[in-house]
Amino acid sequence: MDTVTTLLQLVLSGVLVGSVYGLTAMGFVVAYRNARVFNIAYGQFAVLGAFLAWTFLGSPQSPRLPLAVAVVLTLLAVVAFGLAVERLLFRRMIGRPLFASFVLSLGLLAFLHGVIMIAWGPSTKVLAAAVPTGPLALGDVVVSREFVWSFAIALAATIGFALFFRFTRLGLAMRAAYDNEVAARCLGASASLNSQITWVLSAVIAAVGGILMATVSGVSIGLSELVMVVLAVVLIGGMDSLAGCVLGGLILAVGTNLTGYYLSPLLPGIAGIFSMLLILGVLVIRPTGLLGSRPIERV
Amino acid sequence: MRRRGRGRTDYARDLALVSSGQQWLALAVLALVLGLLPLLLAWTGNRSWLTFTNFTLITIIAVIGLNVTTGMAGLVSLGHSAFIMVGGYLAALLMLEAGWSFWAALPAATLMTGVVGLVVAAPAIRLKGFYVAIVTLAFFFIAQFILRSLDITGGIHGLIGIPSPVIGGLRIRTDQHWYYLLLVVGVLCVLASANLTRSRMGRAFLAIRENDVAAAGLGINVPLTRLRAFFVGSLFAGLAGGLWASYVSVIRLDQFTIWDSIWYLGMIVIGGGGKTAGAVVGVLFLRLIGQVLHVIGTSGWIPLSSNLAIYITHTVYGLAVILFVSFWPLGLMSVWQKIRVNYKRWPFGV
Repeated sequence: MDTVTTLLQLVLSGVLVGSVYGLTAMGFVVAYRNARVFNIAYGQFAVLGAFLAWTFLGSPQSPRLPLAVAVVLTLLAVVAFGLAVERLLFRRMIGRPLFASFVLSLGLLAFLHGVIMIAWGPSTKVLAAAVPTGPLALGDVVVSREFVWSFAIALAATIGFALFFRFTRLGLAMRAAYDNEVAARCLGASASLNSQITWVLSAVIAAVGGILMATVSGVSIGLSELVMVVLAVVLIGGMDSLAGCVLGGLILAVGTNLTGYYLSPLLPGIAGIFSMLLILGVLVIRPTGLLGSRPIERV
Repeated sequence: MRRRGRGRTDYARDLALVSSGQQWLALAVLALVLGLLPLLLAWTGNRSWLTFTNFTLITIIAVIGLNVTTGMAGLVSLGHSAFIMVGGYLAALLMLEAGWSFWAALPAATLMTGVVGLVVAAPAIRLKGFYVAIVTLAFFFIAQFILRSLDITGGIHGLIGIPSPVIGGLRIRTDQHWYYLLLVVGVLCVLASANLTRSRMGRAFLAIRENDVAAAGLGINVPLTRLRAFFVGSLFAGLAGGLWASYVSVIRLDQFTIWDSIWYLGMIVIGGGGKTAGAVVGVLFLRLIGQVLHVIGTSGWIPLSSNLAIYITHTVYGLAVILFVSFWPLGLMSVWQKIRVNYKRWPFGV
């Protein structure tokens, strides 16, 4: 392969993965914007979604339920999880300092980690393909079909998300509550509905992201490292910007691909901490991120 | 009739760490128990309890440091186990490669870890909120990457044969010797931290935690104070790391995980943020839960694989943190304080 094709290959697969990163990061941003929770347990949300999907869908060798049924059941379970998390944990955190909800999410991280490992064990499970697999040739560049499908799903979800926040009454109410909570309440936006929708959306998006990643890498607790990716994405894009998520996801994934290919022979393992270095770089140069509007508040 | 209330007649008495005869008595009893603890533990016939106690003392030293950074100054650090790791590696390298004695390497490693803390905190210190948490989290992975990549640190195999300290011809080797050494260092750390809360600097830490804008209005240099908080917290971490390296005599990357950082934060929250005694109580609380689970897991009463025991520990620790944040956000120390106040005011007041 010549250099141009290699570069094209790296960038294209980076864009495809980056779209999934961007989508996943949106769930984190929604919780941060509307519930004001810096949810460090977000990676566990994604793992839980992937394991639930595996439970209903099964592995390629022994599929369990038809795709449509499995999707509906997974969605219901994830929505129930989101509602439970909101009602039992984060509703108590309304009006409490950011530090309290952050530590709560740390506890939730450990708790979910333990529960998931007890329930499903440490081995990696192969998820029955929800989308077509196999290589797909676009000219000289070859990408895998599941990446293309993930890209399509992520794109559709991102657009749906943007439309929800721009045109629906509920979405507008949630944005209003982010700008000024008291004023939004006075205008009739329900605070508890806002909180519930926030956590359901966050849990569902985390699950979708986790499942899309799992179709490629398999289902295991290692998926929870997605939270590091998400942190990097939201910092690059801006903590409170949904468009920033898309941009941050693309930058991170393409950058990781390029450093992995060109720098790993020189510095083994550099691709693994590329996101960390990017975080430091962004914080030094532009702390609000590329598209963020206001700096996050004090703890 | 018994006297009620505080009954303090001058400011010096109010400021004193130990302000009444009862407290002196309690302290004397505590000193006696701590002094005789190895004998008590030897009496149980199980050597692992003394090892557990020693690791608990090291953890206390480390968490006192995190209590300065996070509990007092309100800077959330997710990289505390990385600072301990750095301190341990520095002490080990100074002893093994440079041939320094323990007593020279330990303070040097402590100070160098403090400087590392300054460097790490510098990018985030002017920013508000979670940037410090994210930067320290990033530092954890970058530090592991660097220590894994360097030749001098032995890569993933780490360093072995780290020498133990010698005091006046006596080599500190047994768990019992280590216990007394760690106890002395631990008590000094508790005293240093308790005194810090009464100093100008300690009050500045509390002020920037409560409200940094108001603190700046009072003439406190907020970024500088944050840097100081990070420096002091990292000092304790470096000290704990140096002691750890020499006590275990082996240091490897996988001994320091991100989970440890999370537990340290949990200990502070459970104990009661900002109070030195709270940090100590929090460490004891979580460590004892862990030890009980460990004993149950290894005893064979309930058939548990070692993996399952670890997951159960995670679940229980997580649940403990969740419950404390939800229902007793000021930690165990506030519960104790409530009991004390009620006792002193009885039969008046609540």
